[in-house]
Amino acid sequence: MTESKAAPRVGEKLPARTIGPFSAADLAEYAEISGDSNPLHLDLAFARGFGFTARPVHGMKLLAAFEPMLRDWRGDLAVIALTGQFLTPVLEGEAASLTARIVKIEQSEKTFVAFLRLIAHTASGAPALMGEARLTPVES
Amino acid sequence: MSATPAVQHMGPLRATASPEVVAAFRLATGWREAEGPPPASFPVIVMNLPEIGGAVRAAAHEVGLPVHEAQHFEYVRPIQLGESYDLMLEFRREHEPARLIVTAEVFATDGARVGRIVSTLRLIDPAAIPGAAIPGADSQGATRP
Repeated sequence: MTESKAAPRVGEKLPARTIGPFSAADLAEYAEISGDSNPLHLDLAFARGFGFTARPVHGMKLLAAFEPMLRDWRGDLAVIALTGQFLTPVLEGEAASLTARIVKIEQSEKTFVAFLRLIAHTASGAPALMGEARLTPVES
Repeated sequence: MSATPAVQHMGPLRATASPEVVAAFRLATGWREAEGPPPASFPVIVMNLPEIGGAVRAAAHEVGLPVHEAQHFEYVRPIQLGESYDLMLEFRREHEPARLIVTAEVFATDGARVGRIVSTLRLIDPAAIPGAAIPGADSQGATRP
């Protein structure tokens, strides 16, 4: 982990991370904690009724998984904004890969904001999530 | 049945970043340590509080399954472990395609602004999906409509 408060370089890529594969128990645990108990994530027959071959993983579980990845990369930066658009579902039994890179730095006299493009892919390579994070140095 | 108004407001609704719930959320979302500050994504759980879930269900009742399409968090100061916050909520309905956009403005109990959370839900009519996959992917909303 880098502990410098220097701004990262535009174009820098974070180490990719694979999460999952996700089990039905993983989905049930997230549903219980988050309160998102939509049957699409929990009831296989219901999910199949909507055309899925397995229960889809909560998109928020993917978006939230970027945060420990960002923390491991630069523990001296804090997330001040996080956005995600949920695209292709990741299904129960599948893994997902998370990637991120710096797309812009806004530098001011005393601090900076780093803009990161976030992309999660399904195991087959389809985009599962596209998003953005904005990070700034933690105030000491 | 009368249609839900295009924009509804609710609040203030008080919510607390309970250490136990934050720890469970961290472990369920890939953090190695349960102990630590609330992640930026943690406040998504307030979107499933009964008061908010009821409004989502009301919209879903008119159309169909709420499907989580997008999520946004932004902060002027971080959420603190154990602290309580007041949420001012806006529920905005869009049509063609049907959506419910829930915006929560987050304030500290002293009134200082903390941030904003926006959840965008597509409302999918199951009858319009003859066995096909739903475009737009994730689902949200407390219960089956």
